[in-house]
Amino acid sequence: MSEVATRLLLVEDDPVIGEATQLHLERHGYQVVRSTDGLDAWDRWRSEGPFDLVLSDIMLPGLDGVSLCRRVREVSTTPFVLVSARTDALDVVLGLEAGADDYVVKPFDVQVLLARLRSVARRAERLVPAPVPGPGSAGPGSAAPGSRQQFGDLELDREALELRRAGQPVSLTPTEMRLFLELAESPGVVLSRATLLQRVWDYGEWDEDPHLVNVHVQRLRAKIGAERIETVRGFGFKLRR
Amino acid sequence: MTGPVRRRPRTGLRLRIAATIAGLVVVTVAALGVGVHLLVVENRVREARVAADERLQAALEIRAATGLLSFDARLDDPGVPAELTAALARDGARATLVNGRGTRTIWAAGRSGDRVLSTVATFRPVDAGVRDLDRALVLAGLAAVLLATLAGGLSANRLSRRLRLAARTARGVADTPDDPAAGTPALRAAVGPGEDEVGDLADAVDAMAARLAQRLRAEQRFTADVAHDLRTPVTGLLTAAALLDDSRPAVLVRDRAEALAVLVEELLEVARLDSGVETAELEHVRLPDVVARAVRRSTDEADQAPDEVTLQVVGEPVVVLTDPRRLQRVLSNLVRNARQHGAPPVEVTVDGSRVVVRDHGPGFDAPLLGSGPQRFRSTAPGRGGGHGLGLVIAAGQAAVLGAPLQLGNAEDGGARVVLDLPDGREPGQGRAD
Repeated sequence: MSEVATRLLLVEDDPVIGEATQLHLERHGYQVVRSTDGLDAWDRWRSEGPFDLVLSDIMLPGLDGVSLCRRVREVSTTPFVLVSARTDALDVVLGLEAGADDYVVKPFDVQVLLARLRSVARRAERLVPAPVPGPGSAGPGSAAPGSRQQFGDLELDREALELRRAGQPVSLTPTEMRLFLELAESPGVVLSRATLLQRVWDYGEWDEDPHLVNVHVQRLRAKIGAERIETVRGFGFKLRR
Repeated sequence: MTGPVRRRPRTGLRLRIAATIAGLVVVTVAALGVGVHLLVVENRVREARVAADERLQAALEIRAATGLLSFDARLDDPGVPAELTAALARDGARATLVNGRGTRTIWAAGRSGDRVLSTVATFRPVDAGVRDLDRALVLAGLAAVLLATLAGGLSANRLSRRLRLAARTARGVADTPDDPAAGTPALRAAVGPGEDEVGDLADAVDAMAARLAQRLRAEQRFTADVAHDLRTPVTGLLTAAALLDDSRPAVLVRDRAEALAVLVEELLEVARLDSGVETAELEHVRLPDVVARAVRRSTDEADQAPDEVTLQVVGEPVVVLTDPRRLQRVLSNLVRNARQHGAPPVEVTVDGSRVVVRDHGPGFDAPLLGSGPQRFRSTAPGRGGGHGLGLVIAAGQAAVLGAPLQLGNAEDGGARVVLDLPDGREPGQGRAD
């Protein structure tokens, strides 16, 4: 991690949960700006930014977390993590469709929350265009010289971390880019949801999630063309060569 | 659920009504017929008397005029019944007497001075004409009985059919108390719009069912509301408790806060299952993999020695179409329940699309086997005093999967739960991960 503390915008309307979460985050080196209202959070996002991370509840006065996420996504790819109640499965899907990178379920285990935030932040950091080698171990023979790969009308430049579709750059969030890189690592090979959860979101071996992978694949499809990622029903996804 | 045997005669009412109507009609027709028959016979006897009397009168007049006997009249016939002679006290008196049953004898006698002039004749009042009439009466009676029985049977059948429909509907409502449609006037719809006693009964039962459903919903809503309102403070408590150090008091507070949070979440899950909005998200999965995952997770969570729970796969692994997350929830709740309330070893067996979880504890008690898992069932002290939501949730989630939990006890002791996952399996497919 960089020397500078990660700046995090925490949006939570319950004062106790908000304060306790802030204390936890500050203990672990985050610099926290806290807001209890969606509209206020949006103002702070614009006036006190830039932030490295947003952690927002879904149910909020003023502006709900999903709408806040949508506004943030319109102007930035800053990692956004939602906090939802377990009953709000539909809200989670809406939030992910609005561009959230991940979510935690209330009441959350603080260690789980910290792990998720670290994972999201790492994805964003790794994607800073820099002379870093491709993430993980590059598939044998799949990476062309200059780390350029071609999939139909898509062109991936692993060095520059750029994806072009028909010559036009495609804007991906860090999570979408990570997902695409994982799929591009082994084109034509089916990757299960569990595998993708582990590799992209750093989920544990036994964790399952019904929405995260599906919604992100949907979002990615909307940007790179639906036919590019194939669903193998009941098993997972693969990238068409 | 095994209710009491319900096979009672379903036709009792119909038969009784039809038989009563038929019996009444038979009695009425018979009485009418006999009455008409007797009246006709009586009438003929009277006519015969009048005729005999007229003949005697003529004979008397002829004798008075000519001294001759006519119309077969006899003088001082010794065969004249004494009672007839006794009735002829004064001169010129006449009387008739009818004797016999099948064939009647008609005596007519009159006093002429101190002599008695008499005629006698026999006749059969039941002649061919009366027999025709009788036959007509019997035929009409039979037709009336037949018609009445038919009409009665039909009307009784209609009544009985409506009652049976109502009973079946009521039973259906009783068997699905959690049906969100409960409270709609189901019985009224079953018996039709008639404004009679059956309709009244249907309305009354509907009103009762609606009231009960309303009470049930109110209770469910209350549970959900309470759990929902508890969630935010409990989450705050949990998050704040996690800030505490690792001293013993802090550990105790954290532990109880976590238990409270789990309880609240379980209550909310029960409320969601109650509301019937839960739907399964189906995927093709290899059943042994999902079961292994659930077993692994439930032992990981509890920091238990993994060998307390064994997993055995019988036969070829099958791929089932199910909701793996709900299935895992069912199984880990079953395993946890077996460990908390039963005794090790807990054996999990996968055989085709059937999963069996059994332990070697005291087994399920009779009330639980009888009425199924109930929330906050008072547990016997020896059973560990769990709050009992685990089994309720397992049963509810299993129902969402279309695979009802079958609770029972193993023959050699210990609780045994069988879960038969619905078909939709595709044998021999591997999973690519």
